[in-house]
Amino acid sequence: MLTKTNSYKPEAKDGILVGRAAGKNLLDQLMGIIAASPAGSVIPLNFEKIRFIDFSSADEFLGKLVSRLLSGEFRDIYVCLEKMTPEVEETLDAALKLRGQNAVVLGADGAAKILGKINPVLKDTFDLINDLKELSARGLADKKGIAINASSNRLTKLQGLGLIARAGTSSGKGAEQYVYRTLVV
Amino acid sequence: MNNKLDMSILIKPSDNFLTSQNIEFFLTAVLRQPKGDITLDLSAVEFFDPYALVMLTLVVEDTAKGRRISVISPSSPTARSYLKRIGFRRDKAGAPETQTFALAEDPIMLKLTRISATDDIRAVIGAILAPVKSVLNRHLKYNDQDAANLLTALSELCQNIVDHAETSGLAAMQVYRSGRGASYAVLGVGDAGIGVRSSLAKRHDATEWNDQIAIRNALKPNFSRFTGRGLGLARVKEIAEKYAGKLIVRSGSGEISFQRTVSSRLCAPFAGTQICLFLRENKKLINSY
Repeated sequence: MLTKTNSYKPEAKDGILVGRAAGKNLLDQLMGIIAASPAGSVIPLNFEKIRFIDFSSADEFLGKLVSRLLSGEFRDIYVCLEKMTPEVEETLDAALKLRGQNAVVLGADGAAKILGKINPVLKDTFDLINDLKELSARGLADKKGIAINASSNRLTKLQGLGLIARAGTSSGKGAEQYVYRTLVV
Repeated sequence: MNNKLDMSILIKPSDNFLTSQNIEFFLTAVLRQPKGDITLDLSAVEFFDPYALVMLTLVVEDTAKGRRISVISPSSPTARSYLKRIGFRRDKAGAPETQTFALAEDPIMLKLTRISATDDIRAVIGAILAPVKSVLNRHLKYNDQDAANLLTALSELCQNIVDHAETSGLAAMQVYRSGRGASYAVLGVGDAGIGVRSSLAKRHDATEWNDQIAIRNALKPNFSRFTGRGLGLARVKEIAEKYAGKLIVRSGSGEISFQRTVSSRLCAPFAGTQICLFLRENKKLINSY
């Protein structure tokens, strides 16, 4: 079961984040929160107090955060970004793209989208999970008319990128299968 | 043309402007003087860009060690006024003086500013964030995201001074309108520090590199003297491409420029790293994403 925690709100003097040290400070703060969070936590990163973030800060904070979350260091901990200005979002997007990483962004309307470069097939799968809230490999295969292996690969890939959560199993046709869930909780 | 005048070598630009297009020729004449006092005759110069001013200041500060550099001011009142507004002034010791921050709502978006630490960069961004957005919106038709991208480039280039140069540096930024009516922004950032090759050599084997190879390597993602870093210059290059602009990186005796294609040339050796970013107005935008 996924649980949305309290937001972590990066802060900086005058709302301006410049340089790697500033990014590292935020990362260190957030790591303390992550270490204390139970498995299944979705931690919103609320950027409403940030007016400007330079690339170095963005890379040091978000780029390294995503790397550490995907390393397996923290089991089943997820983050999603919210309340960014377009210019902050563009810098974070650029940082993720140059690292080949992704993150989930929650829009003001509650819709989720992916930051960073993602192929259209995975984006399509991501959008479907966000519409349905949860999906199994069998469910995806049936909806898209694709083989179960291909379906499973897509879901595993998205989960490996930290964009969806693998949460429990369900009994379908045959053996137990994993159920994947949106991070929008 | 060099003349000996009261034991001071007089050096004068051949054009009535000093910009990224021709500053190198002028500086070569200066840097090739092995010793002796120098007088820089700017009397005929009517137009400067920020990159040229950064280079000029760095060269004067560097070559002033052990010899006297005099500057003959431009005859043009407009040019003299401009140099004063952008902060290119001489102090009592004879080296140009620098000031901080920008005038609000002025095409000079950032006066000639000394960068020594990250706090300087944060202070600059904080001071010019709002006025730069306004200036770029009015003159280049940039929205807030576009303006933030230019400031990101400024921040990254200044951060490279702090992280790599092992000395302080300078930055300046301005919007211009060309004779053909097109607007553009020019950003000049530079230092007279250890240079790209020496910086990268702290982690990579640079024995076979010349300065041009070092610069090309520095622009590759993840190529840095620091582990897990090296994306900042790559991001600046992306920004230059997105706005159909030009990026010039000069270090040591090498210069690489990127504008649709890549070109390189040898330069008169000079310490440190100097960078020019040239961005066009919105009608020239290329969507690179």
